[in-house]
Amino acid sequence: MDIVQHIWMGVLAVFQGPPTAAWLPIPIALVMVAAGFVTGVAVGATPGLAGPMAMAVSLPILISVFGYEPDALSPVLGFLIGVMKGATIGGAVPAILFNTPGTPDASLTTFDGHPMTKKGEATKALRIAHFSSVSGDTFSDIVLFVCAPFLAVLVEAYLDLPEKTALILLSMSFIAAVVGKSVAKGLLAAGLGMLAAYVGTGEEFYPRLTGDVPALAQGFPTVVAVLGVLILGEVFKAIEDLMREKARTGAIARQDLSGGDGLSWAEVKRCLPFIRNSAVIGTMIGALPGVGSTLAATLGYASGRKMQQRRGGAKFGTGAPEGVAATEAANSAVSGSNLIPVLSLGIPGNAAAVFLILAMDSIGGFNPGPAVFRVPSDGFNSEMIIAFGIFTTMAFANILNWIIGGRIMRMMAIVARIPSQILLPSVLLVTLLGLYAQETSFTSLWMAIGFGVLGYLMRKLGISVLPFVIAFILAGTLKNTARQAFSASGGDPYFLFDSPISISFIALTVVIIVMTARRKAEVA
Amino acid sequence: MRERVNQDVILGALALLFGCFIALYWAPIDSDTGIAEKVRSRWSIGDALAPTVAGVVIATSGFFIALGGILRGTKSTLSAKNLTYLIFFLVIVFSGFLTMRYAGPIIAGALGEEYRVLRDERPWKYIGFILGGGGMIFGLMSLAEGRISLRRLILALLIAAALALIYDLPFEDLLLPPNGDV
Repeated sequence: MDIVQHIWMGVLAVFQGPPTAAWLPIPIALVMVAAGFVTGVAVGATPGLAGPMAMAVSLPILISVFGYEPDALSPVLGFLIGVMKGATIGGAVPAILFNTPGTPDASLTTFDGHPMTKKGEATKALRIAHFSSVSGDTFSDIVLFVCAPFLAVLVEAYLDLPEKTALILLSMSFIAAVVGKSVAKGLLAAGLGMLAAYVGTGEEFYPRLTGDVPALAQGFPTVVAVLGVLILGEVFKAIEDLMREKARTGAIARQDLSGGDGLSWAEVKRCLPFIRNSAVIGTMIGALPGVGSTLAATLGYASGRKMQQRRGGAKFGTGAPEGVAATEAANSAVSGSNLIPVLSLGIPGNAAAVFLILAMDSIGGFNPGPAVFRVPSDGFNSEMIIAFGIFTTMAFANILNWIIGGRIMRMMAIVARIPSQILLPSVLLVTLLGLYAQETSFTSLWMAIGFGVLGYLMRKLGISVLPFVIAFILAGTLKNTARQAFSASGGDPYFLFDSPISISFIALTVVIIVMTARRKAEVA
Repeated sequence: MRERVNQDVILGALALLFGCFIALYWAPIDSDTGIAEKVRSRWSIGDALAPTVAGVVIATSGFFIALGGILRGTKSTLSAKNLTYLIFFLVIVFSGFLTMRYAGPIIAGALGEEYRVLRDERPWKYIGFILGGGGMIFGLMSLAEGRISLRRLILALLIAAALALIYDLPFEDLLLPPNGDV
């Protein structure tokens, strides 16, 4: 089978998949994408919640419902992709209406979005945010569909085991270096992530680093560590922030929604150059592991501001629609291209990608990485069919977004008004419930709380949690690849320095760490 | 102005010590094989290598964090107030867990029944989760708002009950806590 036939099989796997129910003969993958999309918009529209949180909570439930067979991949990944897409546009709702950014990248949307609301142009601001967001996202997805297979083929053709080991080291160091304010703290987080991943997971009969504690013999379940550090740690901190806000101001802030206005074609046309510019910036930033949507939004906004100064339109920061367009197109364009390292290298670039990898890892039958796009000389590559099925669900989510996304986004304004002091404890319980559904053991809940405490302390000490999570996930692959490379080299301890490519990767690792540390030290 | 306690120096020193402890003591002593081993005349990586590398990364980063703290000074972001909050938070969560785990068996025991036999039946299978989970939500809401109210207690119990029904009614195979442990 050639690549075109694989693409067609991937499309058919989604559109001719099993029906949802006897009374609903629509393929289940499509229904799950739609359900995930609505959930994502609702979650994104709720201040204090974000897409990865909803993905974290729903993943154990989805796996419990759909099971561990490869057939489960399509509906489970469809739902998670829907959440990821929905949350991207939902995040603009509280930023524009209540001046409350749900996520850090949405904080730039408040600069012009909320002044527009104050001027009575709330609906117009939401429409611009939606149009820009979907445009950026669609562009980014197209780049993903084209680039990921080519990159994977290149990796597969030129990288052997030592080069792959060096590439994983490079990716982990890159994420640790660029995320957060301090390179050393990023590396500390990555070291802790690796350490946690290596508990109980050795090759020998005795489970290493367990101190003979039976509960640790199987190691920390990935979902427990990731949800604990990423989600519970955030909930711990967010509840404390509410408590301090109440103590300082006497009340927890709630804001009112004001009026709206339509969007004309002339206004859309005026925003198009800003959207185009930001979509390219966001896509390029998104393809780099660990460099998140906040940087994309910042660069998109800064570039848009310069463009506006040259054009002489309304000044950014005073309610300029172009400001909303520049920010939203940039931060949404990250979501598609962020999957380039996931699908071509098996390396998650951000928190949302972490949960997609977790789902693939938990269910099995699909190992993201360069082998996914290998065209077999005989028969078919089931992983490539699944990959094109994932692309199909992403394209379907985009179509859904174009057609009904804006309407759902405006409807979700009501969700944004749920008080955080009710929402956050409920999120904590839902997360624990989801964990229990998958692990069915109180031990895993205690472990999750332990990782939550670690996540809280890391946040308070200015240590980014993303390098921890990425290192935890990649540590197993790093260990296995290094082990195989070492054996294949006949026990050469310098196997990482055997080829020019792996030497380049190692040199690049050192250069990135040193250069980023110097730049951050100058900024500080 | 420099702070009296240099937080990064303390963090860096602790990380340096912890990293050295892992690389020099914990990883070698608590692994079956060393850094590398020879099996049937072929060398392969031993179980202690990966945690040793993690320890070296932790120790090195700790050294640079401490060095940065000494050279530039730091502003403390973790205070005694944060730790006090964390203790309160954990007390609420642990109380919720204990209630979740033991409320059902205690109530069943008081009525002369055995919980293990009843754990698949309504309303028994919900008791621990609603009381423990609802109590946890109520405690955390009260912590955030700085006050206790009956309305919030009722709301918390209703949220926990709603979650129990959302999970339990459509998904037959999902177990609510603590029913997988008892």
